This record gives sequence, structure tokens and C-alpha cells, in this order.
Amino acid sequence: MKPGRLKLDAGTRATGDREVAYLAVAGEVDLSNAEELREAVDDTGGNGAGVVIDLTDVGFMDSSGLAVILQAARDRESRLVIVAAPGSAVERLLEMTEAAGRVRLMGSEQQALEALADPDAG
Amino acid sequence: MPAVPASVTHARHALADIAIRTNAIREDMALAVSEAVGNAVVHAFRDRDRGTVRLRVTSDGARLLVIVSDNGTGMRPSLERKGLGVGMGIMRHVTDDLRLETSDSGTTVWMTFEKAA
Repeated sequence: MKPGRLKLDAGTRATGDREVAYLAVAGEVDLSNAEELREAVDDTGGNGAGVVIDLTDVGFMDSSGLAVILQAARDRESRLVIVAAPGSAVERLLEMTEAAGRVRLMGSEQQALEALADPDAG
Repeated sequence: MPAVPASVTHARHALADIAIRTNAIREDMALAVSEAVGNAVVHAFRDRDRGTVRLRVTSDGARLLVIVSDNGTGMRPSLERKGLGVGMGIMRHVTDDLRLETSDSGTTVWMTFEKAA
């Protein structure tokens, strides 16, 4: 993948008796493409059962990408779950900026879907 | 390089050829440069469309010094263009030493990385 290119794969996943929006992101997120990410996040809606943004395959993200994630978390509150691999650059960024406490952060797709399966959870 | 968003990506990848001992430092440099160039692109050229950002890297053997400078009109936080504080906080966190000078004729950021194995 070329530097600055994002791969965005939007779809849905079933969890429990619900269907949630699922956005898989791959590549590097910086100022050159953060707006592209923002538009993809906005396109997932957010008024439904929930949204998962999977950042497992994001090898780099700076504050411009972080701003998109935090805005999405503010808009969707507990209906948004972020997936980032433990020890990844994304998880490290969330920890160093103390943003990890402001998002529902899970280490895998399965954990994220389980977190959204119960409408009373979160 | 021109003060445009794509230069953030180019600057970060320009550092990939520099021999650095640990992945941790490589990640720190990538993040710091991305923030510094991004700050210049977003905050340093409020009164004009075009500008230039320079990236220089020097080493004295024990440390790497990364210098990001621009010919903008100075870096000041503004309500319209948020994010300067977050970027500076990240740069402080990942560098061993951070200095910034800003004036009406431009901004220079010096970022030092210890090359400990």
C-alpha cells in the first residue's frame, strides 16, 4: 500500500440479535487522509445498535487520526467500540494521550462484538 | 517541501532510511515528525496559501537531532484550528528533548532522540 493510502472496508456484523456497523481501517492515518477517515466514520451512521472501528491493521496514526476517533466516541458514546491490537502504535497513542479512558477499546473483533451484543452493557 | 498535508506523510517516510537501532525510536521519530510537520501545515500559514517546511536530521553519534522549520507567520493556537496542544504533548512525550522557537518569520522545532539500544 502506498504511503498515505488508506484502505477502508465498511460493512456490518451480527452480534447477539443485533447488527452493528463495522469499519475496518488499514494503512497509516495522518493529516493527509484523516478527513477521508472522518467521512468513512460518519458514513457508518451511529444511530443504530453500534459501530465498531477496527484499527488492527493501522500501522501508524497521529493526532489527526486521534481527533477523528475521539469525535466519533463523543458522538456515539458507548455505542462505539474501537479495536486496536495490544502493543500496537494505535494503542500506544491512545495511552500516551490519555485518550484510552475516553473510548471503549478492545483487543479483537470478537471482544468488540461481544461488547455491543448486550444493549444494556456499556 | 510544500506546506501541504501530503508532506506529513513524505517527511515521515523520509526518515525510514536513517539507521536507528530500535523500532521504538523509529516509531517515536515517525510520530514526532508527523506532529511537527502537521502543526506547521495547519497552524503556521494562516495568512497565506503557500509555504515551505524543511526537515533536517543530524547525529553526533549518541543522539539524533531532528529539526522541522517553516517560513510561516508563527505558531499560535487558534479556536478555528484546534489540535496544536495535542500535537505538542505527543512530541514532548516521545522526544528526549524538545525546543521550539516561533516568530512572525517562522517556527523551528528541535527534537532530540537518544540512540540508546
